[in-house]
Amino acid sequence: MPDLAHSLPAYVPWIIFCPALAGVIQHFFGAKLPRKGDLVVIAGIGASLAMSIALMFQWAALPAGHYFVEAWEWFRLTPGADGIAFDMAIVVDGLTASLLCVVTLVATLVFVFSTGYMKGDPRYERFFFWLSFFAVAMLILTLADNLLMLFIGWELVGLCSYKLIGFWSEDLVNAEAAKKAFIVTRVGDVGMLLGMLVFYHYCGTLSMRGIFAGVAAGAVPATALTWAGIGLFFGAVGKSAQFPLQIWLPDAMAGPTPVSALIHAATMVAAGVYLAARMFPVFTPDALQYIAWTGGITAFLAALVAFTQTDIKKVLAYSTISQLGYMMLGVGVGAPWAGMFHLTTHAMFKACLFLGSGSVIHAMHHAQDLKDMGGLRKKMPVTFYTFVLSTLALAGIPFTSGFLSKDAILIEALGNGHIVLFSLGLFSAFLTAFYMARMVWLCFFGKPRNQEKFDHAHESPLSMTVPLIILAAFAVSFWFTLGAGPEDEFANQFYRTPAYAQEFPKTDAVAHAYWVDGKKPANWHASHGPRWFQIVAMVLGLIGLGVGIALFRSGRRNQNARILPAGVHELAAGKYYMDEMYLDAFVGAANKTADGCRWVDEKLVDGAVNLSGAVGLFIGDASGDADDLVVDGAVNLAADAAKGAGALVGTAQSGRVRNYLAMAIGVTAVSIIVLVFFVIG
Amino acid sequence: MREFNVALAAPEWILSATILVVLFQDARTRWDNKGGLGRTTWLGLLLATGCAMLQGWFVDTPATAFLGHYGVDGFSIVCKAIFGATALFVMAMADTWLKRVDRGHGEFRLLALMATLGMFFVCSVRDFAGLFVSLELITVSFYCLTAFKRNDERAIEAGIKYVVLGALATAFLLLGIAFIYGATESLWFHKIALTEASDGVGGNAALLEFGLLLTVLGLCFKIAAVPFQVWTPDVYEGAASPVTAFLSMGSKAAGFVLLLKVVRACLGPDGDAGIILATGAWAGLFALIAAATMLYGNLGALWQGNMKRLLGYSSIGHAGYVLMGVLAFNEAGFAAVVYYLMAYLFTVLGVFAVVIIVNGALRSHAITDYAGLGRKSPFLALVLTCGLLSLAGVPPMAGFFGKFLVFQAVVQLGTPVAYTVAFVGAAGVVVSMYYYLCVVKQLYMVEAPEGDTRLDGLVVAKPLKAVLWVCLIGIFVLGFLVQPFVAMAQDAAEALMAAR
Amino acid sequence: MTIGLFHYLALGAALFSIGVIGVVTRRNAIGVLIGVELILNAANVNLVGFSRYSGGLDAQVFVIFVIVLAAAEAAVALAIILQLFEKRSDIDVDRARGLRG
Repeated sequence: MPDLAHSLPAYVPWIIFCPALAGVIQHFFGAKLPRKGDLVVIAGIGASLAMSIALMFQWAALPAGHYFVEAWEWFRLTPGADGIAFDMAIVVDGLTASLLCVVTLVATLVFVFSTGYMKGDPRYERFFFWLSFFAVAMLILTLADNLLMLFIGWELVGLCSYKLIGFWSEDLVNAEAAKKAFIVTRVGDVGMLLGMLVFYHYCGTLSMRGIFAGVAAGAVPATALTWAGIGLFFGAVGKSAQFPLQIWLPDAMAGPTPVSALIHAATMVAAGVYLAARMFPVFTPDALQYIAWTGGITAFLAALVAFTQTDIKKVLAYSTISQLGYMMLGVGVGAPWAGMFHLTTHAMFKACLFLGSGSVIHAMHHAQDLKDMGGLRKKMPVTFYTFVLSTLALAGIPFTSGFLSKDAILIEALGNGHIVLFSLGLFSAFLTAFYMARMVWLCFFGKPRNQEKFDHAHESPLSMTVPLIILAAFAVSFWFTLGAGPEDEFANQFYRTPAYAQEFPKTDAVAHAYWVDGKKPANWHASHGPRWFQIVAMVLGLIGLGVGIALFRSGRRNQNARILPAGVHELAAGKYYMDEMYLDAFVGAANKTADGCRWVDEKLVDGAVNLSGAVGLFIGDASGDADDLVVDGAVNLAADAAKGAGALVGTAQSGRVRNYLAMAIGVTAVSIIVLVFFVIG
Repeated sequence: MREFNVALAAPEWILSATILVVLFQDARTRWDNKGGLGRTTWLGLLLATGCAMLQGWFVDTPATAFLGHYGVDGFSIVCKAIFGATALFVMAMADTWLKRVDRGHGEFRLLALMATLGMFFVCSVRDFAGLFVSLELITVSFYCLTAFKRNDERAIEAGIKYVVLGALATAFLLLGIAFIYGATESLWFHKIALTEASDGVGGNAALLEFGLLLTVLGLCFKIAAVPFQVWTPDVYEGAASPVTAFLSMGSKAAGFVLLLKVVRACLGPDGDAGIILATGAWAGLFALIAAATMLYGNLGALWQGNMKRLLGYSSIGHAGYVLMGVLAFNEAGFAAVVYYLMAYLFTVLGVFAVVIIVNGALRSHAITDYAGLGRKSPFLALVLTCGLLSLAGVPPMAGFFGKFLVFQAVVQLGTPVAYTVAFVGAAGVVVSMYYYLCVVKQLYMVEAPEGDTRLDGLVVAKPLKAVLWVCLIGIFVLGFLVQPFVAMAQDAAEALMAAR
Repeated sequence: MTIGLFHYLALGAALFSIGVIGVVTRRNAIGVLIGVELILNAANVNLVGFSRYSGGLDAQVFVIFVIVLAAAEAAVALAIILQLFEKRSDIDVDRARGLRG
């Protein structure tokens, strides 16, 4: 065991076991318990929260760069001398400790919030079971010390997300959204799995320490390293809704709002950033370029779309995509600590915003369109103030947490010479302030636009407002600047010295490979950065807010007003037509192929009837309805792509035995010819 | 070696005796009093499976009997345990299903027992004659089982298709054996490697490769792989559900066991890729078959509205994944194959058990009719969901682990071919997610139509309930507490590699 | 002219080709079955030929096994075809295509 490692405190596994136990109890006895068992689940996650905080302090007491680790052998693959051991291992370093606290804190508050929000739901106990299950999966993901365990947690959170998005399945749209979310993220997972396997091939292990050691020793060729890194990152692209797989997250808002707050804003979608930050030492400069551009483009494109949305949750969803893009930008420009810092602050204020919107939606009896709102600030003061505070944080106004973390990312982008990405980020920050101001104004100020709903609106119960207040408190910068001096501050403490990387010498293959030997990071804190930048960023944020308010306060512009230039608006409102593009590209191609088959069938097979045997019969009688089946079924993009190709298989599966025989004989004949000419001859 | 050692084949003797007893019992009981047949069958299967497993402790493996034509080693014991469990699970399903059928109880059990006997022999054969005869024992039994519902036109059609394609595959297989015999002048498996070693790439090599190609393609029929995959959806749909379950697990696994034996026979004595397989062209051929099979199965399943058809296509897809393990041509790959088959056993039979129960109430296999099962029968829905997710390879379920082992075995090869086939496989995993989720969506997110009470109050017979529980537990154990099973699969693969 | 291995193999190849053509072109189920039987017998002829000229007797014994198994297979196949005829009054394999897609 290297000098930096310490043995794990014995209670750490219980951080996972507590909610797991609560989940099991909830599953089997939930309906019979008082209050349908919600207290059990909250107690479970609350215990995790307490232990996480204790763990954080215990970790913080260690010298910088030290970490806790413990491994239990899981199974062993024997080929080779001693075989390759796969462990169930837990590592606790700064990344883990902080993410643990974020996850358990947000989860606890969301669970409490849900007791109010989901009150009276016929499947109340089931909802809490899935929430608890999600917490377990997310904690597994967070604590995992090897990619296999991480991948298991990764898939499990996806599964929970699927069940929870589709929780109100009475509406078939929700079920479709759930499926879309699961499948689109799985596209990313394929990249991740392949990346993992490449590392496994070269390093002979899936533990992070082993992979870093292998990379440091130059075991992975440069090209393979780049591609494996991009492969891993592609998993993060799916999970964190980055371009071009961002399309699932807005649809995922079909789930209950607490789910959106917990899974689709604070924790699961941030797991991609966590993965990228954790595996940062293996990314080559090329891979980092890809990550940075993905992040920058996502941040900008999503911010534009947020302008065109009138559904309060959709605005927040696009804002989340945009902010996740920011985090990826931070990782990509070589400052994973900045990305992780933004992850932490964002989790707090975005969860607050989502829960705030949930509070509004609850008050408005499940109306979530901005055109039904307005003037709510007097009726819902707590919701209003917490919402505004979080909005300021999101807009990056000074003295909020968002100001610190967003500037950290931008200044790193600038410091590392990514001028274009820096400008893109700065402009997106301005857009963010702008559309958030628009939303706050439309929601809380002005005259009520739907008098009937307004009259029924009321402030939410304590179970919902207390979590809001706690989360809003974390939107203030104070908590994150605690510490003796800039070097001891939050982000420095937690994110600069993750486990393992610093135990190996820096290699040239990898970008600023190892954080200790690597480039000394630019000082990103307010007192150390270039002052002009601080001022520009602040002014832009304030202008954004001001413009947003000015445009809407006179009442001349209604909620549907087009702020963007006409062409851009159409493009953004259509979400850049990416859903349609995927449909066209894949299904269209498949249609063409099916058409081709039919053409061959008509012209060739009917003409040359039986003689042609092999070829003609192989293609068979392309059933005329293949086309209809493809088009009619066109609902879900990624799947429909393959669905079209499925029509081809249906064509082969004509039901005629002779076609089957001809197919088998034909393939055999081809194999024999290949064998004779290429292998034997 | 040169001795008969008759007692070594005890599991097969027990099964044969059971077949005879069932035959006499069937002849001597009235048509409405066939319960005793079921008990005899259960007893025979339990004894045979138990005996096969006990051989793992009490027989000094590897051992041979019948002048070396029959062998028992670690590999054969693990495989027999798989087949025994399959047969037991299928019998539990058959018990439920036969209640709906008023005749032919005796014949059904007899045929199923004979197929099981064939599967047991498959594990122990050591030459091509044994391979052919044991395989035919399975195949011919399945011809009858497929067309068992002889008043059902679809079953007859399924039977015709199965027979015609099966006969063609058999013919190819036999032709392949003839050429291998011509090249090696022997029917023994191990003579292939010896011929390679002594003959090098001499005059007989072409003949040998030609024979191997036809043999492998012939075996593709059993495992439902390209080019003999087309029968699968049609036969799965037409045949009775327990038969389909048996086909999807037993028959497929038997094909893989034989394929492993043949591939092993071509490897060099130290387990290195033999002269033939080392050329790379064979890895390419297997990769091509595997990739085509995965694509065909996963794409074909996409717009299926019929549960059994969907499982048919899915079964083709899984054959492709298992083939990936075969094409590694090394111990890790073979271990992955064995593990995949173990995982597949619990997964697919769990799914079929639910299908049979639901079909008993619905008389339909339309996926849309599964709507609302999650509310009406949570346990069945849970087993079905876990089974489907395991098929889709979601951790921490058995299917994920099987896929993981297969993928890691292939990627360890590090060749472009290996990466390509791994990529196709991974893409297939995403696609498969879609159609499995379509079913899950029906279970939980769609309500049954008003007034449709067909799924209310489903009663599950005790043996079938036990099967459901065992499958559910198996799915999670093989996905999480994997060490004992990985060790078992590796021991089996090691024994296979050591086989002479 | 002496009969050698080549002649056996040539006969086998001819039988095989005739069988394959029969399988692919016949619509009649019995015809398809006969085609398959021809392929099987092509393999048998090959086995006997190889056995006669290079190997031992084991392949000839094996051929007897194969003939028995082929008979069993044919019997089962005929039974199913008969059942098909009872249902549909024809044995055109191409018309039996209720299962497809």
